[in-house]
This record gives sequence, structure tokens and C-alpha cells, in this order.
Amino acid sequence: MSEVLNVAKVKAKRTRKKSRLPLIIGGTITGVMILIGIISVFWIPMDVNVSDPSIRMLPIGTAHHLFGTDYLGRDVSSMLMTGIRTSIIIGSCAAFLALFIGTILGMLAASISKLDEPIMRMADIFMAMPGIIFALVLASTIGAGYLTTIFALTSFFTPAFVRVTRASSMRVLSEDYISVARLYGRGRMFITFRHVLPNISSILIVQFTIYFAAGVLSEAGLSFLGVGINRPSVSLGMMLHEAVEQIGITDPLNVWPGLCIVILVIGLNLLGDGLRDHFDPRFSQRVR
Amino acid sequence: MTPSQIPIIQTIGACQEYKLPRTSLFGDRPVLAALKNVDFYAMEGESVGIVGESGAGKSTLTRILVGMEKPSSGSFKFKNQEVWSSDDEFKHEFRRSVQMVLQNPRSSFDPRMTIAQSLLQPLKGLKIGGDHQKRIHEVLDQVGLGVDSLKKYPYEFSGGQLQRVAIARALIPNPKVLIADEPVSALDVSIQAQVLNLLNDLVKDLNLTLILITHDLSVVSYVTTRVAIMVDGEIAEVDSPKSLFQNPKSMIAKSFVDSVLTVGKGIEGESLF
Amino acid sequence: MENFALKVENLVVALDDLTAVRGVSFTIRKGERWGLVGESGAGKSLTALAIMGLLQEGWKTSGAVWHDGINLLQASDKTLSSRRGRTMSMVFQDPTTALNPVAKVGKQITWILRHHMHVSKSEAYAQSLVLLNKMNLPRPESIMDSYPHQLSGGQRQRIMIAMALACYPELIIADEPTTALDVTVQKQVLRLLDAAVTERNCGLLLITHDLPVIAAMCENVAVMYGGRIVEAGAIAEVFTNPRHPYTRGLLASQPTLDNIDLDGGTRLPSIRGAVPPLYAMPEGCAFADRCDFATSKCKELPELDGHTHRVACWNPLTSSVKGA
Repeated sequence: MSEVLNVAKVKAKRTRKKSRLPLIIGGTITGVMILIGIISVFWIPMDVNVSDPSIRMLPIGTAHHLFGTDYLGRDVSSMLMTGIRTSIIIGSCAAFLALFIGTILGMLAASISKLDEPIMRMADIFMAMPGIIFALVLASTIGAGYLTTIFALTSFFTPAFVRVTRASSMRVLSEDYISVARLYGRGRMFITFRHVLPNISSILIVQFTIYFAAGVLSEAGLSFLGVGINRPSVSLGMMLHEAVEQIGITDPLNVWPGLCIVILVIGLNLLGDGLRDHFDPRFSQRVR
Repeated sequence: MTPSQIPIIQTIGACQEYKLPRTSLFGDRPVLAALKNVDFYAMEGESVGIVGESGAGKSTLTRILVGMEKPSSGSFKFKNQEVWSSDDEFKHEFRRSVQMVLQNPRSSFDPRMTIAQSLLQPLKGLKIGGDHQKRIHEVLDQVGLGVDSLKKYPYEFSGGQLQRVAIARALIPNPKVLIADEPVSALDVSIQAQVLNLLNDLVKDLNLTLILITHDLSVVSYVTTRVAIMVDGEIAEVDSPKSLFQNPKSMIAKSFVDSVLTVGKGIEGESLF
Repeated sequence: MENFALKVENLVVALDDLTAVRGVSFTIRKGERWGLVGESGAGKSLTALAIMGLLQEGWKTSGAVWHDGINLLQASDKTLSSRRGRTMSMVFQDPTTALNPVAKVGKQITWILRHHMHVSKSEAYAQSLVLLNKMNLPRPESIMDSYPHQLSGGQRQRIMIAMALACYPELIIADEPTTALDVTVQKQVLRLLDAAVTERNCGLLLITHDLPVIAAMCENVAVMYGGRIVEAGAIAEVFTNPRHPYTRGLLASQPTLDNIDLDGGTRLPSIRGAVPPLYAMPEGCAFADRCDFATSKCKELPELDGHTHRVACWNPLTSSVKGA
């Protein structure tokens, strides 16, 4: 059936040009969101923590308050911008740390058989811990906040990266060109970083975008429950948490942060899909 | 023995065992005897074939011959010197002198490296000096590939062409022994001929020792002058391809010879046309 | 009532704008044995899959495939299911993946008999034992009770053949049936297939790149290259007097044992160049750039021409050139 596969891969190679759409759309959305986040560092319409009862509960479209204000008079658009920034930072940091630690552990597990069992069992242990409980425990001991949330999410995501890296590394290590490299006297380090890592990088990049999105969602969930980000920091999840108290008073307050989360996550997922399609046929072993 | 009568590469009484996963909590792990007392040799400039079914032990013997694995017992010599107990300098010489071409050309190359980078690997890894670019151009010429191949990636080549690149790469350290493990099994028949012809030419032009491993008896008859048939980890019979066909002695040789089908003969060997 | 087991008319198989099979036509009469030979990329496996209706999502077909009174290409799933396994069956290349790994062998064979022939459980069991006996499988009862992974490759392939024969089909399509098997087992399996097909007088479409296998098993052959049939006819004719340059080159490049007087180091005739990739298929004859006899006319696609020995070539070889 190799010719069927051949033709399918060739087709994928050619239609790559047609279906670049997910990549473009995803990239644009993600890019815009990141831009908003960056801008919020330097400028926001109003301080997010100053409450001004005189301007409370203004509807959307009011001058100076594009998305209105909440029941304490805080500007919603400022909170959104800051919230986006927070979500992006937490999501990306958690994903990145998980990627970093997970990749190293995964490659170690794949190349050194004595380390394989211990690393995988540790990963199993971390996976068995319910993320929310872990976050709760952390919040009550260290206190909620940026670091705690990132810490909780990282330990939640790392096992997945360990597994993915280990599986892909093992696949690469079973290829003939690795045996050939060993015969040429190449050491473990060279093989790991110059042969294995480049060949699993496309998988890792895609995984990163997936867990970036997961990080955004998880942070939203944790903060919504109150164990993630709290005032004075602002996050999209935290806004949802506050919106609960304001149901019936200023309803649309829950829509905007929710919408932001949805858009950001869709953007990241599309980006991940697009990247995966982009990488897959070119450097796949089975092309042609 | 005079120097010309000493095999350039040989195993004497080589045995290889693999420990299998545990089947019981206590006691020793079961052991798979992949090679049992194998005496194999090749003289300089000779083309020898190793034929056997999957599981016969040919891959294990191949890994020992190329220095990937150490036999669990028995001796393995190159230029009449024990390889595994020799000094680093000799080991280094061994690594450069014995090269391998594998069955699946797609798997033999890092898909993320250009051909140029892949061809540099033996030069860098084995610390070979001299003009690298010149050497790379030389081997490409020897296998009949153009210099434009250097910028390309493996996926841009057909199976047959990539196998030529693999042969070129094996030639880079100027080896004395070339071990080809099922070099044409993954290729189309009309391309097999191209690669087999190339191997024959190289053996002649460079006075290479060729060890060809395959399950296809007809392929072996075109390239080699002596064939060892393996079964169950042992060498059952060694003979020239012609004698093997006309007079197979061992059971396995007989069943190999019997299994060969040629155009023009029916299943029972009857003449068709 | 037609007298053919299979009639393929201008079959085209394509994926988006890539055409892998470009107009294949042939007829297999009842009891006839045809070999479909070609190298990788020629389109032979896709032809078989198209006939059986087993193409993956996205593949489109056109033309007609007549079997048992219907055009299989336009049949509904229900109609196809009633034919597959009963009047037309297939033996696949890899016995490991063709059998269900989590069902016992017995269940897989009896299912076919019960589904298509509507026999009782015990009757199906009995018939299965008979089938396995015919396949020279010792202790058929224990085989019925085994899982595929407990058996050897040769045994699994024989079981697949048994399953293909179970309902006395008009046509068996065998796609590289022995390629994945050990060399010493291949002949045995071929012998069995040969005997079984003779006994039941089914048609056989044997697809492979292995010329000697086709020569031993079939009376007729169609040679495929670049998605089309380039030569077709009786094997005794085609293999002794090939008219298409590709056929001749293919036959010449087979390592034979007749020349082993020469002790190693002989030149094996080969066909220069390589098969053009599907997305770069030339306009005219696909073989032209590898052909020693190509002329400017070859920029036009030649049609399959002739009566019993047909060839698609503007410059067919004359019969004085021997191939085998």
C-alpha cells in the first residue's frame, strides 16, 4: 500500500499551499492578542484597581470607556487588556517550562534505559494528581498569585510533554541513521541534540501551542474558582469570578472576558494545526 | 599462513546471546541464543554472501561484523587482530575500514540534513582530515550522482538514488570492507539491477571486500563468489553459488534453492514455455 | 448472463488533481488467471482497491467495473457488501494486519460463512475445518481456537486464503500475497493458492511486482506502468516475445539462475532512470524518457492496440527479440 501513502503525502505537500488558512488566521489572532498584551504594559486607558463609584455600571460604547465599567466603576477595557496580558504570560510560561523540563526528561528517558522507568513513573504520579486540588493546596500554603498558578500548571502539563518527547525520541532513535551516527563515533550528546531534537522539534512546537491554549483555559478556571490570580493582578478568569457577583447588576461583564478567552484559544489552536500541517509532509520520514 | 591467506575480517566461534524480559520473579532471565558458534570469514577483495531467513541470525552476525555489538563469546578479528580487546588506535582504524549500507535508504539519513551535511558526518565523526569537499565530490562521482545532489534533502530522492547516496557515504572513509545488509530488498526490480551493478563495479575498481546479506538467492548469485547459508543462528553450508544450486547439501540450502522461482519455470519447476 | 468474472472499463482513480490510475481496461473470464504486474507507483494496488471498493476517503473513481451484473463503482455499500467475500474476495499482502488481532481465527472464518451463506454455527464450524484442512494446516481445531498473533506468517496467509475461498467466489484478487512471507514459505503458499483456485475454478487477479510468481501462477498478464496498462496478453506470448520496451527491460533485469556459470561480478541489464513521480507525469508515454526506442511521436499517449497480445507503444519491438 506504499503507493497509496506516497500519493497521499505528495498530495499533502501540494495542498499545503491551499490550506495555509489555519496558519494565517491562527497566527493573526494570536499575534493581535500578544500585541494587546504588550501594549497593556505601557498604556491602559485607566488604572484597573481604582474604583470610582461615580462612573460605575456604564454601558458599552461610553466615551472613554469602550466596554463600559463594572459595578465599582473600574474600566472594563483596561481590565481586558491587562487580563489578556496575564493570561498570555501565564499560559506561555507554564507551557514553556513544561516544554523545557518535559523535553529534557523525555529525551533522557528515551536514551538512557535505566532512567526510563523512574522518569515515567514520576510522570504518572504527577498526572494522577488532580490539578485543581494541587492548585488549591498551593494557594493555601504559598498563597495564590502568578507564581503559584504557573507552578501548578507547569506540574500539571509536564508529564504530557515527557510522554510525547519520550515517544517521539524513541521513534527517532530506532531509525537507521542513529545507528550510523553511533558507528561514526558520535556520542550521546551529539545524537540527542543534533539528531533527535531537530527531528522532534516540529512535534514539540505544535504541543507547545496546544498547552499554551490549555494554560490560558486552565488559568481561567483556577482564577474563576479563586485559587489563581487575585486582585491587584487582573486576569480573564478573575474577571469571570467577579462577574459572578455581578449577575443581574451588570450582565455583559461575563461576556467580554469569556469572549477573549475563546478567541485566544481558537487562535492558538488554529496556529497549532497550521504549524502541524506545515511541518508534517516536508520532513516526515515516509514522504515519497 | 601468508598475509594474503589471512582473512581480512573473520569471526571464530562467535556466539551471541540476548537476555529476554523476565518471565518469573525469581531465577535467571531466559536467554535467546541468536548466534551459535559461527565461523565466518572474508578474504581481501572477495565478495561473500550471507543468506538466511528472518530470525536466522544474519542481522546479529552483521552487527558483530560491523562492530556494533560485541559477541558474548568467541573471537572477532580484523586484519587478524582481535577488535574488541585492541587499543584505541586500532579500533579507530577498524571503524574507518569497515562500513555499512543498510536496507532502507529512507531510514539511513537524517531527514533534516542535506545530503552535503550527511556526507560530512563520517568525515567529522571519524575525524578524517584532508579536503572534505574534494572527497565528497569524489564519492558522488564514483556512484554516478551529480554535485547538484548536495543541496537536496533525502525526500527529494527516489529509493534507488538514495541508496546510491548511502553507498557513497559508506565509501567516504575509504573502507576496505563494505557490508551491505539487504541493499536492494526495498527497491524495485529494475532499480535493483542498477545498484547491484554499481556494487560489482566498486568491488572491482576499489578492490573492496563485499559482504552482502540477503534473503534472495538470485541476487547473491550475481554479486558474490561464495555464499554462507544461515539458519537458527548457525552457518549451515558455505559454497559457491553455482555449487549451491546444483548440489545443495543441507536442508535449509535445499529449501532455499527450491524456493527460487524464475520466469519460465512453473511452481514445480516444470518448463512453461 | 455474462461469461466474465470481472470487466474493467476505463478505470480512472484520482486524488484531487493527481491521477494515479489513468484508464485501465481488461476482462477476466470465469476461471481465467490474470497477473497484474508493475513496480511501485504503477497503480496496481490502487486498481485492486478500486475494484473492491476499498479506497480511502478522498479518492475518486470513474469508468466502470462490472461484476456479477452490477457496476461496482456505482454500487451502494449494501450491494458491495453482499458481493465482497462472497462472489469476489481479496487476499492482502500483510497477513498480520489483515486479520483482526482481537478475534479468534475460528470466529473470523465462521463469520464469513454465516454472513454470506447463512449457515448454522455448527455447519460453519465444520466447513471451516474442511477449509483449513485444504490449506494443509495441521490440527485445524486448535488453529480455530487461536488468535492471529499466536500463528506464523505463513499460517496466517493460508487462513486468509481459506477465508477468501470460503464462499466459492467467482474471482479472487490477491495483492502481493507472498511478498511479506519468508522465502522458504512462499512457494508452499503459492502452491496452495494454485490448487485451490484450480479446484474451485475461480478467476484470479494476482497483483505483484514479482515476475516469476506471475509466470508460475497465471496464464495471462497485464503490465502496468505510470498508471496504465502498457502490454497485455498470454504470458507465454508476452514473456517470450515482449513488445513493449518496458516489459523487455523488466524481464531482462531479473536476476536468473541460468547464468550462474559466471562467478559473480556480471552486469545485470537495468532500465536507466526512474519512474516519474505522480505529480510530474509526462504528457505522452510515461516511459519515453527511459526508453531506448523513443521517438518524437512518443509525446503523444499511445493506446492499447492489438488483439490477443496488446501493446500501448508507437514503436513496439518486433518478435525477434527474446525477453526471458
